[in-house]
Amino acid sequence: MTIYNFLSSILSYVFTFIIYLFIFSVIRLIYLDVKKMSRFEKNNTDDVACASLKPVKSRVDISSPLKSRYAIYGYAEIGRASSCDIQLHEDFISAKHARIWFDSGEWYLEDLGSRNGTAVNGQRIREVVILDPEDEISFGGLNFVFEL
Amino acid sequence: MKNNRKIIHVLVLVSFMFLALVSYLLYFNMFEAGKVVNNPYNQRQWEDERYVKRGSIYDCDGELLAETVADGDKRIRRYPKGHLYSHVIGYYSRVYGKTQLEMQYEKELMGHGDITLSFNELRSGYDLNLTIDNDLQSYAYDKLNGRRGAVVALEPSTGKVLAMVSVPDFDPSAESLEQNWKYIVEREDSPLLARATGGLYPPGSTYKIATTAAAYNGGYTQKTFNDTGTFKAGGIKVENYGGESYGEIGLKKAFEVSSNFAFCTLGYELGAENVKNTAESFGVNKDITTDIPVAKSRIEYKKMTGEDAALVSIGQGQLLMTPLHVAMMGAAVANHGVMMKPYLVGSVTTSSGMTLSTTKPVEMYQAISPDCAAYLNELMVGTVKEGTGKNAAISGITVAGKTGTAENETSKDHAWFVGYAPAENPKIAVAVLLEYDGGSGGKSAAPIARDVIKKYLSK
Amino acid sequence: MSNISGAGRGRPVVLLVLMNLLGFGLLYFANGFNINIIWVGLGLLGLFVIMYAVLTLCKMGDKFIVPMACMLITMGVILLCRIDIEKYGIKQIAWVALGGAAFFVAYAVYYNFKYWHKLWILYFLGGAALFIATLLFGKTVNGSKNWLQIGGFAFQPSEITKILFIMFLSCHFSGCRTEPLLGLKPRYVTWLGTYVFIGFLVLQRDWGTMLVLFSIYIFMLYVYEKSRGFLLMNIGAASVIAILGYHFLHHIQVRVSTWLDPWSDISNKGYQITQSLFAIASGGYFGRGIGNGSPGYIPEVHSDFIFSAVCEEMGVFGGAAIIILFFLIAYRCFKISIQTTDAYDKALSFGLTVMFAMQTFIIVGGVTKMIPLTGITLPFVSYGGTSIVVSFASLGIIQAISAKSERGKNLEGDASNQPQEDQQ
Repeated sequence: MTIYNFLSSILSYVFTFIIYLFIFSVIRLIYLDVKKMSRFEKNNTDDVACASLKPVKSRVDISSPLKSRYAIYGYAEIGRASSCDIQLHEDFISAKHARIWFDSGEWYLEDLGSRNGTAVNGQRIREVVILDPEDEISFGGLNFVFEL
Repeated sequence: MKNNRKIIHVLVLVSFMFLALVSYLLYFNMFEAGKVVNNPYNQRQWEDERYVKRGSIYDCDGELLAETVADGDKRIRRYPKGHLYSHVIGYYSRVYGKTQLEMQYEKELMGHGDITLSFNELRSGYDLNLTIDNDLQSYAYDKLNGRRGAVVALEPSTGKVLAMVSVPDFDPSAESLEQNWKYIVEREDSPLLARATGGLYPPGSTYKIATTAAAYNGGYTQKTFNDTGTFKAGGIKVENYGGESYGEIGLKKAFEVSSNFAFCTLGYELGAENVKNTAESFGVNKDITTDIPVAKSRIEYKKMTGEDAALVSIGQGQLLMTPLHVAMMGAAVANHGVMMKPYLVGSVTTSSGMTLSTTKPVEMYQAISPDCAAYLNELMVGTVKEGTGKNAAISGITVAGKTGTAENETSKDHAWFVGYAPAENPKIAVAVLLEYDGGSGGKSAAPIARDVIKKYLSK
Repeated sequence: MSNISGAGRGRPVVLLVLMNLLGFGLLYFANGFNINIIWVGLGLLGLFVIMYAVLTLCKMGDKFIVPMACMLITMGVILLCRIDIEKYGIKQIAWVALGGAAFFVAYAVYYNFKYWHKLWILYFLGGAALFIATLLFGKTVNGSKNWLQIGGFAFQPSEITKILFIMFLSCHFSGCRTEPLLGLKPRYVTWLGTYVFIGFLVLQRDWGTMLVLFSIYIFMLYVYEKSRGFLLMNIGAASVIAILGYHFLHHIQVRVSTWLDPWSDISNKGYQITQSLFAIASGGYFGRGIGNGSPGYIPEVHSDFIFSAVCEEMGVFGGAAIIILFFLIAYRCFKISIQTTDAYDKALSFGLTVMFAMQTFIIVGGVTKMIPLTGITLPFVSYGGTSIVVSFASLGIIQAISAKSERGKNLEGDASNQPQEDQQ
């Protein structure tokens, strides 16, 4: 047995280990991804409260197209980060800008310390507020109408 | 979305297909790979030879039996004793593969598990030191004198194989095999069959040892038989050898003269269950694992009747045993009823002489009680002294033995003898089989056993 | 929820880099410390990293498929370098570079061009032209006439035809083509087209590709065809053809008999499959180590039989890893196909996925003797320029489909599609 043969047989275990670790970490990421997705797709169950944000005219320039409507199922984070439920790829939106959630009959909105702030009906919010239907929400100047 | 649901069906099907692939791969690796790797067409087996010089094989006195000669990139496996060990060591051919010790000890001979690193220099595999005594082996071979059959000699107290000859045999060198393969395979007397370990024969009257053990355990030792010469029961009719009838005889006498009448009667009275259990206590229907492959001795009945039991009791019917197993039966009697596991490789050593492993004797079964063994010893000594085994007697040494003449599908009987000596303190147990000999065990086989025993004890 | 990103996200890529470094380090050692191997390895690694970076930075859809394909490529390239670095290894890396380019080109072209579903006649004619060109000017290699040479550049047209065939089928199954042709309903036009393609492949004796194409057709029928009878009729017709083929074509009889018992004729008909089995069997669970085995005994080890070499040197676990990776790729692609709302994209990504899955199943099952052997390349692992480039291009198309649906920018639905579904 030469040194090379010896080294190579040891490495064969290392390779197997690396490949399976690779497979494992990919599966883990896919799992997390699917778990995140499934929150969006649970729309058929009635017990989750539904609401949506509909873009309206804003004064700011936007660089990427918006959907005509963003659905919220019980809970949603809004921001630039890919982990957010509603992603807005704009520079003036913070990574984690705000969150909206439903709790015992009411919808709540909270700013998550964003740079450009969040406003409801033109009023910048400092703490958690309760949302009413047809409220106009502005994330750093990007306007939406809150609909049930 | 109906399409999406169907796409998921396809995804499930694909998962099953891939799962099947992985399972099949694992199954193949677990259960089939071993067989596939040893296929002689697998060239990988010969790769190690580039940097390993296959180990040598020696007899118990260090006499060379097999070695590999390296000539540049060529490796030639030499067998200095030629035919003599073709059924023990086997052959080693790139075309036809490996057999016997060459196969079973592949890893040791190629020095696997040796992790010393070296730079492309020729390393030596490990050597095997057999328990076989080359002098005795060649002596037994000469005594067989070309007759088809087998001689197996064991050391009763340990199970060491002292000699193991099977005839006909062949030249195991790869060159000769590759030239004569077709001829060897097509020869009617099948020289590739290792008769001592792979041949299954009816043991004939040598099996009366086991039947006597059953009779001893069943309390039949004082029984007398009125031997009329012909045993009849159900649809069978068994005569004594040579058409003799012995009249009023006891068990001891019946054993010494090998009365078929008496033993058929015994077997019939003991019953199928009892006879079968006795056979199994001697290892019939069980695997014998030793250094080379051994065929399983067997007693094959769907439903065994009393008549079948009568036939089995005289070593006929559907009972088949290997010569090695018959020798082990004799050795068990010699060893106070304990059957030892036979072994051929005494130790494995490195080429520089360091011992890597030494085989320790292993008890297989307590086939019979020590008292029963003592009783059988008395009967077997009597057989050689004044019964059918007179031809095995040696002056000055008490020999114990039992002859057998086994009927088979031809008109020529197999001649058997199994015995050991000295009876007071057995040093060697021998079984001799002459296939399709036509003569009786006492006449043909006993003299060979006598000579082999004498040769060994005079050493 | 929010900590999904962060630490875990980059790990597969780190492992991929580690695998490459160790693998090429070993090859560097094996080839007498030839520094060029390190450069080549770094080049390959750079390619992977660039691909992954572009993919994530430009948000080009699914992020998992490409790293997995890169892992497959890595395993393949390391083995090919070990089998014959001059003949296969370096060239394969060049092909992978070209494949990477093909990936982005296919992505960009497919993403931006909007009329793919209208070009069915072009796909058909293109495929047929390639077949006819092969039959007329093709080179025969190993009993199959499936190489075409243009100038100094040889390629296997059947690889390209596979894509054209899938695009052709998608036109029909997506419902983009409804008007009858020459009085024939579209269903029968597609049916006829399929059998024409398959007929050409039979003439070329390219059984592997034929099997892949036919199974794509059957799976698509299963998903899209409303009439069960038509699907069963096709399966029935296929079985009849298979039985007739078995009775009248010696070639197929030999395949089946060597599958059932390769051991009785090892030196002749069973040679390929038994050599493959010897290799797999001698690998054990963890393999003999890169460079310790003897894949040289296996015929065609660089292309069809690469899986056996993987099993010998990386073990059954290495082989199983390849199967698992292909499964995960297929899973992600099916998911893309399910998520996209554009009918043509859905059909096309489904077809391409079935192509990858079937190709893997047919060749891996073949070399392990689970099913009769039909020669076909293992995508991303086998050596072969056409195979690598076409596999990467297919991946580019799937990636484009994924990007489209993730950006909610489907061809017809525009933005209004999404919420409608949401509110069901």
